[in-house]
Amino acid sequence: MHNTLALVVTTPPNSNLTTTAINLIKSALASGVEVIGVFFYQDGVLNAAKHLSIPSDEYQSLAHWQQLNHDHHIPLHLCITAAEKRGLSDEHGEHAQSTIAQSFTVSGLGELVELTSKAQRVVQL
Amino acid sequence: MLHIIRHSGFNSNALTLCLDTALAGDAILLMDDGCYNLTHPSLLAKCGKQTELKVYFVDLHAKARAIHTNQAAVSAIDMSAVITLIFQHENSITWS
Amino acid sequence: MSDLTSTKTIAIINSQAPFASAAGKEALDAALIFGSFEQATSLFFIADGVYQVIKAQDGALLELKDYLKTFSALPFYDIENIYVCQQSVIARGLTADSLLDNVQLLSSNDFSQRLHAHNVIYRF
Repeated sequence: MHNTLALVVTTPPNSNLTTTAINLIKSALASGVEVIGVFFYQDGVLNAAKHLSIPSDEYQSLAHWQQLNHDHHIPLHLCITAAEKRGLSDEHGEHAQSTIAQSFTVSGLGELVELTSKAQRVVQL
Repeated sequence: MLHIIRHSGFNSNALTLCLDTALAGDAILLMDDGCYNLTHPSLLAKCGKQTELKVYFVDLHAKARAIHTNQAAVSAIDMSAVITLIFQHENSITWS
Repeated sequence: MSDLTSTKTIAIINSQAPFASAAGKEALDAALIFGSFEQATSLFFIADGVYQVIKAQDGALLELKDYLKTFSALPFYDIENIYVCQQSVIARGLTADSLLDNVQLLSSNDFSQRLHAHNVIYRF
């Protein structure tokens, strides 16, 4: 049977709780579960901060998220309202530059509704 | 229902809320700082009485924190067993 | 919204007081979106979350946008089930009279049973 899972991540990038979320996704994939998407909400949106600079000898959560997106095509949805409230911006143009890292998709809460509806299981981490 | 606890009950109400809402047949999963609850009196009291409540903890998360348990009523599991638990239960609450 | 493959029952648990964190507002935002996509959505208030449904609060005194007023309007968003844990209310020295009119006080066991009946549960 084909199992599908969606994750809601609310923990910030510099927390070991986020490392656990990433490891849980990797275990799900290894178990043959399809991870249909990750939705970043509350402080979880900070995971998408492009200018995040974590010392190189510490866990690089951003690189791990991008790898999950790149290697396994897991969509990384960002609630833009929550993100903008925390200083992230999706502005493009002459005087503005997006501060959202590559691999993340700017979305709204409607995407949370969609993932919740589609996945067999949803886990909030 | 699967209750996921990721914080210490000595410092947050996650454990209390979980135990207050858990019903027979539910499972509790201790992850991250939730592993500190392995020695929490409220959890131990519940383990003793209510055997219909299954308690699991992520072995690696406890080991990293040097937290040990000799309770027969709780089971050490790995992440792939966590995935199994998630699909065994209809729904989950993360009490964080 | 495109083809939602299934309609699920959604529970949103509020367990924190309203002023010091954004959790309550972000929980309500999520609830309203679920409601607007016609997902059967229930709100649950437990622990300090019960402070969100007390009457006559005035966030404006503290420059807080008063999202709490929205609770009284929830039926217009098709969210009719608003459950409050009686044990949490009593433990805080509150009474049923201090709560908004459109909420239902439930005993711990009833609260728990209702919660279990939902497909997906988010906690804030």
